[in-house]
Amino acid sequence: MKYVFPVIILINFILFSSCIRGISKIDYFYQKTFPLIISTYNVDKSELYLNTHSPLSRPPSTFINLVGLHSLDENFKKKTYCLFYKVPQKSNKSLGRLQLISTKKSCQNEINSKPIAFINGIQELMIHLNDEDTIVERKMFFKNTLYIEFKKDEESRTLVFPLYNYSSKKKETFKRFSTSFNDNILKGIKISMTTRDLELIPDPIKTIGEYSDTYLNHNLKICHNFDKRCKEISKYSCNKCKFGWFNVVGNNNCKNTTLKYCGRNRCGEKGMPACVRGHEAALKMGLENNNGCYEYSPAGYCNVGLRTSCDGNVLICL
Amino acid sequence: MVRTYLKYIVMIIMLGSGLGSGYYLYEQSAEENEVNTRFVSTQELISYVKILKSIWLEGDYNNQLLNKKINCQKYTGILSDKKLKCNPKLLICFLENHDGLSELSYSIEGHLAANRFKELDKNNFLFTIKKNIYNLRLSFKNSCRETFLPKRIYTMEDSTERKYSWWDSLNRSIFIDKYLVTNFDVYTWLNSDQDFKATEELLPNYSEHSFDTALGLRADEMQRYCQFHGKQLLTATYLDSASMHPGDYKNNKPKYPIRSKWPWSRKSKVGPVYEKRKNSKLEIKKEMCQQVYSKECHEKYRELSKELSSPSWTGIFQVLGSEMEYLENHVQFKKNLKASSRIFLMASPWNELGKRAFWDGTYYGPRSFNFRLHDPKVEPEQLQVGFRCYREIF
Repeated sequence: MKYVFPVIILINFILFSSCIRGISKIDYFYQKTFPLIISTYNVDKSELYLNTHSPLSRPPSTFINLVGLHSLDENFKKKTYCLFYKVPQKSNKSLGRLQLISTKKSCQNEINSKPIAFINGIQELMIHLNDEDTIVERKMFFKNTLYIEFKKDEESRTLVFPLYNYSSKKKETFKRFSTSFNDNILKGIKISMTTRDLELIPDPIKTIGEYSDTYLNHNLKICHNFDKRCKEISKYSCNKCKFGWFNVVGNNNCKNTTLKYCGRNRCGEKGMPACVRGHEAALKMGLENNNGCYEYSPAGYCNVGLRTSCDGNVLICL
Repeated sequence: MVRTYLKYIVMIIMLGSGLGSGYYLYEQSAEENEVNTRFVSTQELISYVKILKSIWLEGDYNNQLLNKKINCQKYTGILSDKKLKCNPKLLICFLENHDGLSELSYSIEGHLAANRFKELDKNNFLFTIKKNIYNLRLSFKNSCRETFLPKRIYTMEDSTERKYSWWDSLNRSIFIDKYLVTNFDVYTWLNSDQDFKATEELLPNYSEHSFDTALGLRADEMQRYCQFHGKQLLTATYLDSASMHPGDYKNNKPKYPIRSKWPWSRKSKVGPVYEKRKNSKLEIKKEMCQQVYSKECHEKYRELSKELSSPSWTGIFQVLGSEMEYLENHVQFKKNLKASSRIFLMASPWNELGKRAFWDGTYYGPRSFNFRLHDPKVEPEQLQVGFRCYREIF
């Protein structure tokens, strides 16, 4: 009986020592979040917290949403992750906490959700996400890559997350010989991690338009539209057109924005929209005012034997 | 008595708490192991993607083909460097034969599947690479086949008595296919366009292993091909703009009209066609065929790639010679065929930019074509037409 106590203590010791954590909390955080974050294709950024080059110190003892990361989950469904940081108080350095939370809505309401992973006791945190490769204080920050720098137990650490599907440039500037790929890290190649046994069930995209739709039959679908003052009245959705899209000359004063339809471009044919000539070229051809929708307008051109005419909202050929 | 019970109670509590903590930590450790395995597998798969990216964007990765370490002819046929880029068949060849990749298992999900990344862009090649229990799904964008039409004011043919008029692309982003659509392209389209009715009838004519120009489709089928890819059939106006030499590249608002005869210069008295017209005894050399792949070239230098002949200032090919090309003409609808091709001699009047014949788009017999005064006088089966597409990006 007298050996029972030491035996139990020994058993407890063996159990504890065999199961002790093999990796640090920082490594665990990094390894857990890396496969989730690298599929990010869009980022909600706050300029207050990004690329500050000095540690975040305000507001103390408060959780701030550093970034919202729109990624793809294992089934190619959209998934948003929110990176939160509890800013430490100067007097109590152990309060700093970094955590990643998954959300189905927006990051603003998710502060109290259970985190996927977290690190406690950190300080002097900075995050970097640049549109171009950047060197700051002899440190290289590659574009479209999220860097999280911080100190824990007086040791500096940097966690690097390449955002493979992310292109920071919202509007590409194309030049001669430009290709059409996005400016992401893998130059047009996109990725998504999954486990082998998971069946792929992608959400079908709601496409717009049918092959047989024509302007004459009044069943062409508008995929981008503006009012007379050039204010956008229907958002751009031409990337969802099932069979391509084309521009027409609308009845407004917009120089650079044109009405767009889904479907086949049969411009220039009788009864169909006129082909868009472009504002500068139309001026060369005698355009009278910014609104190009009028009889014999040079804002558009037609096939041989036809002329332009305004059909309500669209310049057509008659 | 009470002391003995207390002893047992303490023992049971210690043993229970020990086992409980042990189980909790065991679970934690198992999760850590899983997290670690997933992380390592992800990084390993990413390192493969970097190699695959090089093959996709550069073609002959590490000169493996040049040095004959890999032979991909059964996958791609004999191809020049430019056509090895963004080539799914080459990627498969490397996956199966390259030492660094052959251990990797993979599966193809489709060439034209559109909705994996929430994009309706059917110009992607989708497949999955596998390591342990982890998969990395990949979408390779076919960015090598299009080129940007620079933003500028262009001279265009006119539908009135005027000799020319103007159009501009200053506020538009137009991308044009560099090459005519290939047999492989048509084959993959026919296998993907489920609503298209004529697939069974057409499919035997096109091979997935041929990257030669696809010939033999009707105009409405060409239109369907382009629209299925979210594009439009190329127009005569855009072909002229992408192929006629603009003179000064930097000045995107030229004051004076320029409609050059040749893609290589705005001057009219230079180049192989001019030289041959001037001197009918001039021998046709290989370099001339790279500028215009004419009838003589087809007879004499068959090993030359007609697909990569006649490059233009924007980077599109086959603008003169090679194969005839069907175009949408929104200005002169009876001029919808780029006749310049391997069926005409180098000195032919058709070998000029902007000169077009007519094809009714329905049938490949002589009556469907109108070459006006310059008939090719060839067997009817030689009258074949290719096509290409364009699209706008907003």
